[in-house]
Amino acid sequence: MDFLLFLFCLNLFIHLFDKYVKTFLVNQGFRVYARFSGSPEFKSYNDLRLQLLSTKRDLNNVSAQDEFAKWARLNRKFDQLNVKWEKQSKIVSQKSEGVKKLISLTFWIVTRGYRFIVQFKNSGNPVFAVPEGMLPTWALWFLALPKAKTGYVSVAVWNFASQKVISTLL
Amino acid sequence: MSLEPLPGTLENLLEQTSLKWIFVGGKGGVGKTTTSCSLAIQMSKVRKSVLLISTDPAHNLSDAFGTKFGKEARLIPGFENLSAMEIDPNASIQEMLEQSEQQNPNNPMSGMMQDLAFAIPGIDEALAFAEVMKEVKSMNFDCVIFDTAPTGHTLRFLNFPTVLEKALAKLSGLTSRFGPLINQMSGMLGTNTNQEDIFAKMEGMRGSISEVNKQFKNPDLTTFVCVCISEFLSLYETERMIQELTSYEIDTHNIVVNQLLLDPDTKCPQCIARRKMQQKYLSQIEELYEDFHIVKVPQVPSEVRGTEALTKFSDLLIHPYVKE
Repeated sequence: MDFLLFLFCLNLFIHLFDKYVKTFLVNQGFRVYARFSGSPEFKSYNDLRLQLLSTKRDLNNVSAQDEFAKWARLNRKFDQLNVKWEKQSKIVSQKSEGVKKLISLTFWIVTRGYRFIVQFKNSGNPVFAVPEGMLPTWALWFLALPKAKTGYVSVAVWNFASQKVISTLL
Repeated sequence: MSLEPLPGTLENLLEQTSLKWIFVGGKGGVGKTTTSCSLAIQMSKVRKSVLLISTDPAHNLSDAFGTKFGKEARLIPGFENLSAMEIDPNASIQEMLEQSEQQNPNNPMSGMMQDLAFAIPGIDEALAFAEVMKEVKSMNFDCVIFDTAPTGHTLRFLNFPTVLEKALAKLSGLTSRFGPLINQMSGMLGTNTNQEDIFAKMEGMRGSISEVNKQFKNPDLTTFVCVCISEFLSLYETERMIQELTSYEIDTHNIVVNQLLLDPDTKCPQCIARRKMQQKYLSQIEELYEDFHIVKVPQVPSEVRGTEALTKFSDLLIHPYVKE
């Protein structure tokens, strides 16, 4: 019974994690990476972003009507920075794509990979018994796939059923 | 950096004998046409032959000189080496389409191909412009002055010559590949396709567009004169235009500031207030565009129309204002 609940909770957790938490964690993980990796692309991207923001702030503080020359100079600077920033952000997004994929893969191994190992290791262990006479023999044979004893529900089938129910309901 | 301000006249344009194309542009109502006419008059004094072209659909040249101009270059009455013409970029492309429609009517294929070709944004303007340039080149003028449309759209296509070229190359590649198929099909259907001619035309255009581009980016041959008035919006537009021109690599080093109240002893309260505002923006212009020739043109009491008035006015572009 414990094993049954454990498997169900594991499936529930994986489902919820994939649906609500994963993207957030991947983004956070990427931010941490970008911060501490010391890669020059990310650094100059961040620098540019900061410069862009401060220029924008300056621009908002200068009245275009009263100090047009100053305003126009700032505006030129802003435009220049913007072009550079966009170029850099293209490079960074290409690079970040790879990093994010890697983080996702790690999460995948930790969650789904773990479930797979559990399922593989316990492929012969039954989860619970089907009451006798409830189902015909061929149905029992299916429920026991791949290696559990006939008359019992295997881990693989139980996992499959849990996933179906969870993804339908949640 | 303390540089002497550059002289505030357009004399530098008269002295630069290599100049072939001069564009005059700015927002509507700032005196573009007056400025371009005046500049043309001054240019005609130092050059062999000058052509003034208006690409503005509103056609102000006819009004300014009091003579009707059309698509053909015509001498302006009272001048021996100054001609003018008015073209409408949109109308000329329409004409071209209609022409090819007439040549082969009831041909569904060519219509489709044309739609496809003209789906490229701005291509109509670019093609019309290339057409005009071809004509102008064959006419052999010493110097050509363009009075551009208020939005400066005439120059927009300079932004995407490469896009245009790529698109055209792709299209012509497409026809050479599918042309035989289309021909066969239309042969079976009993229609007669010759979509080749429009693409041949486009290929020709492509050549002239890229050549025109090359010339426009050469500061020895081409320059752009910005016209503005000393007001915020006009200034703002001018700054944007100058940035745009810089991004197209088109030379610009002259700004004409029109409609200025330059008399310091003016008495009427409204004039004093207006003068104060103009001076404020003028000082900003001088600060921002220190490497430009800033031409200060006073507001004149009457409308500048007719050859005589224009000739008199044109002097103000060359000789700075002195209080009478």
